[in-house]
Amino acid sequence: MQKEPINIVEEITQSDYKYGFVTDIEQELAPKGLNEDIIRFISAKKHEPEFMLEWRLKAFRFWQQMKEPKWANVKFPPIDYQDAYYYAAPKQAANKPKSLDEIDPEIRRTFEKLGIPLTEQQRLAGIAVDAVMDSVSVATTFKEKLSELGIIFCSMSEAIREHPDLVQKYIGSVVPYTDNYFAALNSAVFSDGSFCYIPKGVRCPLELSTYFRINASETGQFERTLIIADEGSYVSYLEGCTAPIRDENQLHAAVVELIAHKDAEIKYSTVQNWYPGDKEGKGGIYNFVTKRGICEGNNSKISWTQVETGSAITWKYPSCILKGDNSIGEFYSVALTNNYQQADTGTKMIHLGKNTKSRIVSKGISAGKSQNSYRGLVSIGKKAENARNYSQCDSLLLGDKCGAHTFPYIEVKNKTATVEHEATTSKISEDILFYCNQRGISTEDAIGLIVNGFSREVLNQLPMEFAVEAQRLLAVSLEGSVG
Amino acid sequence: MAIKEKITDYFEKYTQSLNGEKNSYLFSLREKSIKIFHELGIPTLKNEEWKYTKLNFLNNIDFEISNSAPHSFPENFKISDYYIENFEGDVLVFINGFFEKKYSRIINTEENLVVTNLNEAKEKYSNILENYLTKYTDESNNPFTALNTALANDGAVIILPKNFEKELPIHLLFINIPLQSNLITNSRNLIIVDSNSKAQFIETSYSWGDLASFHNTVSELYLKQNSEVEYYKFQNDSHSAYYIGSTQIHQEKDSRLFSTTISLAGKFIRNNLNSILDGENSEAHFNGLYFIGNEDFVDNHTLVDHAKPHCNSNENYKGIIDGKATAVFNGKIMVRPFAQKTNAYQSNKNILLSEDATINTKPQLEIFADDVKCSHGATSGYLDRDAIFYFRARGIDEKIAQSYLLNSFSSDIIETVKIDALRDLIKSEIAKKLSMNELYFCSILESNKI
Amino acid sequence: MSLLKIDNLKVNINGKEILKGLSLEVNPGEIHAIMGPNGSGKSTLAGVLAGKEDYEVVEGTIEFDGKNIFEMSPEDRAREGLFLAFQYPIEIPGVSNASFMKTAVNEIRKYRNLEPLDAMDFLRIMREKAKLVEMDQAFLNRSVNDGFSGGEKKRNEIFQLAMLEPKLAILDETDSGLDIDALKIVANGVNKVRNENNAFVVITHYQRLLNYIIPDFVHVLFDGKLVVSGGKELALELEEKGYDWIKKQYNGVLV
Repeated sequence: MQKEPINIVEEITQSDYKYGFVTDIEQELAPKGLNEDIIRFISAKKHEPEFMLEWRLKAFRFWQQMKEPKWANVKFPPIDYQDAYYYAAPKQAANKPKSLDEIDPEIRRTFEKLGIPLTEQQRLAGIAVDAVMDSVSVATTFKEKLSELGIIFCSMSEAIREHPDLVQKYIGSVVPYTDNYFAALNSAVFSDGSFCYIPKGVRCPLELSTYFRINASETGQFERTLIIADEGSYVSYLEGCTAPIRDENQLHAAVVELIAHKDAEIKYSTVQNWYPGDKEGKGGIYNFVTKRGICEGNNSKISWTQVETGSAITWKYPSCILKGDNSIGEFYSVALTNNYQQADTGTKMIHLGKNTKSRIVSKGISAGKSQNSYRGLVSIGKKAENARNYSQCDSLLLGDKCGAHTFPYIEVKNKTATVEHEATTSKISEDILFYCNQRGISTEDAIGLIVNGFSREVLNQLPMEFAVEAQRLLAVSLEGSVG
Repeated sequence: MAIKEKITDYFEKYTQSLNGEKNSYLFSLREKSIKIFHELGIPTLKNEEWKYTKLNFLNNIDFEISNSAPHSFPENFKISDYYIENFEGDVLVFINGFFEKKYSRIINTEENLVVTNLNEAKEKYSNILENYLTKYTDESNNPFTALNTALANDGAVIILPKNFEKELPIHLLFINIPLQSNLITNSRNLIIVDSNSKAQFIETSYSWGDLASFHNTVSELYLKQNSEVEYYKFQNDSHSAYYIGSTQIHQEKDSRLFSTTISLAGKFIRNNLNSILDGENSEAHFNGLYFIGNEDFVDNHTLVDHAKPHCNSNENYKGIIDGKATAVFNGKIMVRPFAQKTNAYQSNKNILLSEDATINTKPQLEIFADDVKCSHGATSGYLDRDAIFYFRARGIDEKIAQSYLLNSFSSDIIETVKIDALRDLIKSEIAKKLSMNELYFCSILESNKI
Repeated sequence: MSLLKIDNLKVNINGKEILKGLSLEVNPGEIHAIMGPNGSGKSTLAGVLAGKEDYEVVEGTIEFDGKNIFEMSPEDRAREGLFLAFQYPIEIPGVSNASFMKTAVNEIRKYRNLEPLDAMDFLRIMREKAKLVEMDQAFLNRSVNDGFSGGEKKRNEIFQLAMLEPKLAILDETDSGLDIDALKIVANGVNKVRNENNAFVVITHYQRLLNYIIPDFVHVLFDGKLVVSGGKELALELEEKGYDWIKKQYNGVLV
């Protein structure tokens, strides 16, 4: 007669990771370990010009001097940097196929399984894709169509070979290799990534997208993305990620740099669903990523949107340096943690120019035994007359074994600035669920409704196709969450 | 001599001066604490708790550690300047860290009520000191508290018996008079309010003259079941005054704490205000106003630690920063696992008045229980331009408009002070700061409806 | 067949006996009022019917539409047509009334093997029903009960009642805290929804409500049992004399 108490937590943790399969393809690996020879090997493999190798070596030497950071609210065992492969590539991809038809059918199938068709006939409504498996780009669609407009959209390796001037000018200009431990490591060993350049006055007609897939075991993935929007241009860029289920932890240390010139706008969206580890917290990706954009010119705008559901540990703070007058920075984030996941994420808005504006909307959802932290900095410089910031950080707790933490740092050095920060924490209470049940809504649907309502403001920022995907992902990550 | 060596040196001399006391509990506590202090060292900006707070003065100024009260006061020193006008209650005066009975006033002499100083209490109430001192101060994370335990010269010891409901405001007045050299004093207060009792405490700290003075003080407050305490700090010190004050509060079931901290001046002020809500249905109210200018620095660090279910906390700090002053606010709300049905609210609002003023604010929520309602907000801004324009459109000077608005901005905090004499003092000091006789003139006009 | 049949219901909360053998039968088309002093077990009865968990049913049966209610989850009870208007409606920030109701209506339809309503039909119905309780458009887009006044929350309960068209509605002190104008709106809403196929159990403290929702039966719940039943006159008698005569007569000690 008496119903078992609703156990949100236990049920929540029962859903499975559906991208956990491994693709069986021939690999080319560099020897394990990290030293100058490995870096020379990577650089040679990619036929890089001399300046690139020099830069990598400088970064490596700098990295050697650094200590791995310790973070107050993130705990993980020490990483053995010598016990990993720093270069893994599907064999065929070492010489990237000239046309999409030549792609290894096994790779093609992998991406189809992930819902990313690599043929232009099956184009996802208006999206051009650069598909990256392990360390290298395996295919880029719609290149020709884009190049007609002068848009360069290709893998980073290709950009280094074909457009060395642009790369040399911008790489490390927003995230120098001295920035932090993982940015230094990335600068030394990055293997590939996406590059795009939107010329003056061009509005990119397609959504540009990179799909990252870790396949090989015992590898780190270190990609590097560089997006430059020249004066008056616009681009919307999407990034998605998955990895197979493996017992060991894998390191993903990427660097993303965005440069928006005068009147330009960059919209960068991420749906991150790296393997989060199993229910006992075994395995999963360490997602230590440095993402930063600079609003270089006046009236420019950079907008970050992220939906973070995967990874054992997420440590990332997509940031905006608002240098140009009237420039705008935005950060919209939903971070969901479950089981033993840890997320420490947020943003930095550095206001330097006059009339700069920033907006932060962060929604954290914690379930299981997970820990979810928002950490953000709003800094108003002395010359940032009339700067405005509004931050809203909300946390939603499901179950009583998880934690939600908010660490906003606000530094104001200009009296005309207005900074507002608000944060709330609430739970999906038994009362709410019972109320929904009484109206005939199952507990699962009720949670779905509430979580989507809670995240709506952020999901609305995503392009349509991604918003649907993200909504589904949130539901799956909390699937079976209740009885 | 560097500061750390001076401290070691002082401690050794102090140890030698002890005879029978070496076996006392207090001395073993001091020995332990001096070790902790030396292990921790003086925090740098890399320490998250001191991220915005530079402690250079400790190395840049040549301090001596106070070992006695001066034999006589300097000519232009008048102790009456430091009493609160019209204040009715006990006053305990400490000069250079030592209790001065002849300048103090202890009216309340009820049975079982203890109003005394640490040096007196050492013998008479040794078991109480043993049971309470350092119980919740967490010295391993607080070098200055450890330093205080090691070196404290004296301080107030106040113990209210059960069911004591008489109005009993007590003013703890600390004055440093550095005569020959820059001075460090350490004072330690212990306050225990037993069940169903009510009390009001004021702490003020002043330094006289141009030589620098560093007052490192720690107060421990114990609120037993269903007790109620009002705790006020009023800071209006000189430009040679350095101050680090930590208040550690422990609250039992159904207890209620009302704290208001007003900081109007001081070269360097760091207030640590921590309360552990360690019994169901206890509540803590933290209010604060910092209104500073010149090159003053005020740092308010608060921690509300919800350790038991069904507790409420409410925090409201406001700041007005002028001149080249810098203010720091770091408010942490911690909700421990099992502290369900917690309600916690925090707000920090700031107004910068000048080009060179800085505010660093860091409201923090750390939540480990799920059935909680917590929220915090922080703002920094300038005065409402439309409102100022409205004043001006009616022919009122911008400066007066500003005073009006600042006055109303700070009034809700000032009104949390329930001791009339103290509130009047705060109001008149703020009026001075706003340099606005006009303000009063206007309000007179208003009230007379001319 | 009766719509609701409660037989000898005994319920504990935290080991304490609250309902001590309560029986009640409700047929389609009837309105029953349950009155009683504070702590007599009125809200417990409402909670047990809707399937709230804090209660331990020690003895007795409840059949709803011929089915054993204890074998049904709260949502299935709702889908079967049992509606509880909460004494304290819950606030759900971030979820609009419209999406809340659309989900509820379509879940119930699914349970009854009906096609879900499309958005247009749903909107039309929703606007129609909103008029019953004099709610405007903006109301529908606001988050469920979030920041609503007491009166608005109660009106929202009746709006939901109208949307879901239950067979049996239990109004748990829906009148408490309402001024007379709001009370009329709520009562009016109920009267428009009532018909010969549905039934109401109106739990209230005050006779006032029963001037607007005329009951067929009035029961007095006292010390966990229905001790007196009668027609609508009983409510007036209670209003006049208070509960003391019942307390004396039934020798109960007030809980």
